[in-house]
Amino acid sequence: MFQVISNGIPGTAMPANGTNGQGVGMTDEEIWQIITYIRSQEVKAPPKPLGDAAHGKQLFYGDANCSLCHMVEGKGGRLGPDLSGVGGSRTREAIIDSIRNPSRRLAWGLTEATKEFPQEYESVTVVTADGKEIKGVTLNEDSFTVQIMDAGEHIHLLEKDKLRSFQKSRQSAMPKYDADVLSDKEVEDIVTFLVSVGAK
Amino acid sequence: MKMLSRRLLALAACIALVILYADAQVTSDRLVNSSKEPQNWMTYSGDYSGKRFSGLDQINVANAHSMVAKWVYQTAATGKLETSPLVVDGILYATAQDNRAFALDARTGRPIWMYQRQVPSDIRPCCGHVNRGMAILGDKVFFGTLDAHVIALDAKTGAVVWDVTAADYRTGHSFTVAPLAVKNLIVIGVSGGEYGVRGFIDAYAADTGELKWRFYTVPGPGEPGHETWEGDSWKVGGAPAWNTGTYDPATNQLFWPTGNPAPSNRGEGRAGDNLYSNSLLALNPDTGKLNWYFQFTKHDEHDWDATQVPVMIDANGKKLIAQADRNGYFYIVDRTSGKLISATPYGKTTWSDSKDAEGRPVANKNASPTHEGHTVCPGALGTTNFMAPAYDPQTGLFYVTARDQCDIFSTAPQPYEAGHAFYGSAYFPSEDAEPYLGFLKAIDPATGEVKEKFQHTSPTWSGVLSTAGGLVFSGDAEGNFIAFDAKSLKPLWHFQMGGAVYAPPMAFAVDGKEYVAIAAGSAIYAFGLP
Repeated sequence: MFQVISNGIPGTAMPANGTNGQGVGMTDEEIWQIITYIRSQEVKAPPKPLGDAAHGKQLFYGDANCSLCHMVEGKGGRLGPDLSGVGGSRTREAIIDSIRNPSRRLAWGLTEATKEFPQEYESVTVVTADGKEIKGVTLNEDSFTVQIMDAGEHIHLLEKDKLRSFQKSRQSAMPKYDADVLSDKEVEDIVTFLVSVGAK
Repeated sequence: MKMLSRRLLALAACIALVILYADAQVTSDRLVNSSKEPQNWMTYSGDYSGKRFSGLDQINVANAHSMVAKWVYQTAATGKLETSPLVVDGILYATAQDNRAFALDARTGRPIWMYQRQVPSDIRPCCGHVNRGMAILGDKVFFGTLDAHVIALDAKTGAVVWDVTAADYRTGHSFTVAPLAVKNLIVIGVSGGEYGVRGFIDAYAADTGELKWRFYTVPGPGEPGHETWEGDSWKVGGAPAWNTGTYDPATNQLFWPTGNPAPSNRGEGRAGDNLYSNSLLALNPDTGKLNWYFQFTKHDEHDWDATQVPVMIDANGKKLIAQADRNGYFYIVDRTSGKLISATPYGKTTWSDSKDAEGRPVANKNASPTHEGHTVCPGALGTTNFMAPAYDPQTGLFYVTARDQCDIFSTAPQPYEAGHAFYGSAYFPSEDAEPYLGFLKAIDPATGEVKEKFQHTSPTWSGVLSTAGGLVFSGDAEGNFIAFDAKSLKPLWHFQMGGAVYAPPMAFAVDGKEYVAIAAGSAIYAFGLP
C-alpha cells in the first residue's frame, strides 16, 4: 500500500504522492500514518465474492487461454503482463474492462508517470535487414533500440536504424473477449480468481 | 627518469589546479561579457540572455558522431536531478536535490568539495525534491535550499560564508531555482504555488547576505494590481518564481517569469486577472521596482505556470523576448516595453480560439475546470514546463522540449490550510487524448512556425543546448543523450546514460578541449571527442 500511495496507480487517476512525485508530496512518515488510519477502518470480514474463484482458475489455465500469455503466481506465459497483483490493485470493473476491451487502455497512451507495467505491451511488427518478419510485443523501447518478445516468447534485441521496417500498433495483441467467447458469469469467475490471488 | 617525469607532470598538474583556483574570481563584468569566454558557463542559462547557446565549435556536425563519455560523477542522490552545472576556469559547480552543492574537477569529474544542509524530515515540497543549480559571483557560489534558505559558499572550499532564512518551509515555501547573480546581488525566486504561498523574488547582497529588496509577485493592499484579487485571496495567491530569469545590461532590466495563482485549478474565490501570476516581470535590479509586466494566462485555472526562461533575442533591430509558454503558445514580447508582438500555438491547444485587442490568446467558455471534469489541452503539465529552451543565433531557431497531452480538469472547493497542498482540483489523463507525445521542436521566432521537430519515444523533461558547432543537444526519458543537427533535428549521435533526464545540457572547455555535460539518473555525465 505504501508503494501505491507513494508511486500512484499507473493508468488511473491516482497520482504519485511521495516526495518525488507530482502529487501532494507526502513524507514517508505521513504515508505510513495514512496507512495506519486506513488499516484501522478496515472491515475484517471479506466482501462476499460475486463469482466462483475455483471455476475462474480453471478457465484462466484452461479454456479461456489466459495463461498462454499471462502469469499468475509464477505459472503461465510471459507475453502479457503478470496478473498476480491486479486483483489487489484494480477494481473489478477495471479488470472486466481489460478483458472485454484489451486495446482500450493501450489506445489511451500512458505517460511515464502512469505506466501500468514496466513495458507498454504495444503490438509491433518489424522486418529485419535480411527480410525476416518479427511480430510481438514491445518489452522496452527508446528512440534507437527496441526489445520485442514474439509469440514464442523469444526476445529480440534490435537497433531501429538497422531495420527495414518498424511498425507499432496500439491494438493489443490480446484478443477481445466478447460475451460470445466468455459469458458475463465466466468473466466474473476469472475476476474472482484474480481478486482471490491479489488479496493474498 | 621515467618516475621523475611522472612527478614533474604531477607537479605541473597541481600548479595548473592552483592557477585554476586563483582565477576563480567571477566579476560582474565577466558575467556581462560571458560570450568572450565560451570555455566557461557562468550562469544557469550560460549567459544573461537565456539562450543556452555555447560559442564552442570543436564538437560539430562533422565530428559529433565520434563523441565519447569522458567521465561520470555519481551524486548518489535519489529522485530527480535537475541541476544545470556551472563551469568556471576548469571547476564544475552543481547541486543535487537533497540540499547538496559540490565542486568537481571539470576535466576528470573528481570531487573537490561537497556541502550539504540537512533536509528537514517534515518537508514536503511540491513536485518532488529538486534543485536546478547555482549562481557564482566573486569567490562565492550561491544556491537555495528546499527549506527556503539562501546559502553562499566559498567557491574554493564549500565552506558556508553566509546562510539566510528567506521564509518558513513549514508553510510551503522552498527554493528549487538556480539563483542569478546581477551586479553585486543574488536574485532568487520562491517556490510554493501549490501551497498557497504569496510569491516573491528576493535580492541579497552577495557579500553579506543582507536582503536588499523583495518583490511580492502578488500585490498587497494599496499596490497596483491588488484589485485583481477577490477579497483576501491575495494572501495565499501563489504566483511563485521558481525558474531562473534573465538580465539585459543594456536596459538594466531583470526579466523574471512567475507561476500559477493558488489554488491552482480553482478560480472561484479569486475572481480577477490575479496579477502577477503567470507573468513576465521586468524589474529594475537595483531597486526591485516593476518596470512593466506581461501576463500570459489571466486568471489561470490549469496550473500553467509561465516559469519558462525568458530568452532575449534581437531581430530586425528590435529587442525581444521569446518565451514558449506552458499554455501552448509561443510568445514574442518587446523587452523594452512589454508589448506583445505575437502569440502562436506550438503544440496541441484547445483552451483558446480568439485573441484580445493586444493579440493575447483568450480562454474560451469551455476552458474552465468543472465539477464533473472535462478535457482541456494542453494538460496540467503543459506544452512545455521548466525545461530550459535554447536559441541558436546561427540558425535563428528557438529549440524547446514540448509535449502533446490533454487532461481532464475537475474542480472542487478546498479551504486553505497552511503548509498543505492547495490545488482546489484534480486532473488526470484524458481518455480523449492520443498517446502522449514528446518532441524537440525548432520554432522560427519571426513567424512562430514550428520548422522542424523530432519525436521522442515518450515525453521528456530534458532541457536543450545549442552550440556554435551547428548542434543541438537534449536528453530523453529513456536515458539517451542525443546530439542533433541544429538545422534538421536529425540525430547524429546518442549515448545511453541509464537514467531519465530532467536536466538541461551545458558546454564548457578545459585545456582547449570542449565538453558537453548533462545530469541523468543520479549522475552527471561529461562527453567530448575521443
